[in-house]
Amino acid sequence: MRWMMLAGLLCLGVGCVHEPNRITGRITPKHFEFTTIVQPRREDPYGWRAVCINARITHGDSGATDACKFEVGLPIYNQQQHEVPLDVAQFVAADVANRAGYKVLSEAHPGEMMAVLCRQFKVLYQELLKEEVSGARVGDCATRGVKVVHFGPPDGGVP
Amino acid sequence: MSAFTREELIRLARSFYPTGYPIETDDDSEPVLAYQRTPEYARWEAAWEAAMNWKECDTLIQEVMAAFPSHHVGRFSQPRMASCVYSIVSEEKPDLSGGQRVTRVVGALSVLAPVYLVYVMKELRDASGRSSRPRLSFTPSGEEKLSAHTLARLIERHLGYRPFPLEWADVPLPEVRVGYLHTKPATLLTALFSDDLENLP
Repeated sequence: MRWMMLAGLLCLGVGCVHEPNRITGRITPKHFEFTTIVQPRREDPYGWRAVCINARITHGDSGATDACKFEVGLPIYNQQQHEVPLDVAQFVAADVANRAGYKVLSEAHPGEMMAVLCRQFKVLYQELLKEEVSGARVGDCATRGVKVVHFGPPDGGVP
Repeated sequence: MSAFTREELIRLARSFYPTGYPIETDDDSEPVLAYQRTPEYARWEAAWEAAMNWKECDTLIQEVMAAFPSHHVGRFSQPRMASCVYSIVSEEKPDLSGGQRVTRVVGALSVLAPVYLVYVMKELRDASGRSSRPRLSFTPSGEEKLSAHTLARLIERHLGYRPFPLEWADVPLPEVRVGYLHTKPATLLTALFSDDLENLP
């Protein structure tokens, strides 16, 4: 499974119009194999868990692939939900990633650099995710010991 | 007053972040991004490593707990997704609407420099658990003023930190690459603390 983007370029006699790209594929809760980075304890009641996702996005038209790597971090407890159980964290992280990914990729212009799209994705993903789980962050993969999970073919080949 | 001059803080912040490396040049197919292979990044990483095992901060949190026995007190860290940890003193009171008024007095402690910020966040949580957008204030009034003062004194006593001068918050750090800033500009505030002080659990 991977995100696949089919360019929405509609060309008529007078020129080309950019329609929303068609996006297929879904990242699933199982991809979010979180590692506990801050174990909840008396001084750290909120805790922290994180995962690094190495997503490959395939351009359906050419078959070329691009990478977008991101780290997702969530508190284990917050005042909104009290405990954020692992399965809830995984479901929310996946659901919001798909929403953000679809929006950014469907509106991408032809030839847009993946680094720019990846940044737009991280910004939107974080904005949407913290509405669901206050305290959540999305950033570059940076935390040692966090599991790196591949979403899509790791080498651009067949998954 | 801060123990640092403005120029000293700029120099200090720059020692943790490389110059150049715009996001547009990132290549996520590499195992580690180019800016993460710099000596500045290695210093930032080492600062976080130390912050994850910060005994003096444990003592601070215990002292804050003792000073606010009827409040919910704890530290919150977003490791490597900001440059500070938070000491949070939280209190909930019933609201006439049936929800809860949540007041948090927060001490943001930079992991890069011995400077801190104290601010107050207020929000209303309805009966379903949904919260209003928090209102953040760096100039607490009423009963929060005393709590903020107490928290600030404890931070200074146990960590030796000094207040971060808010008038320097927007001092720009041009072309400095701060990993967790996706679109917001690097400034003394965003580089030494965070770009989202309201985003607390």
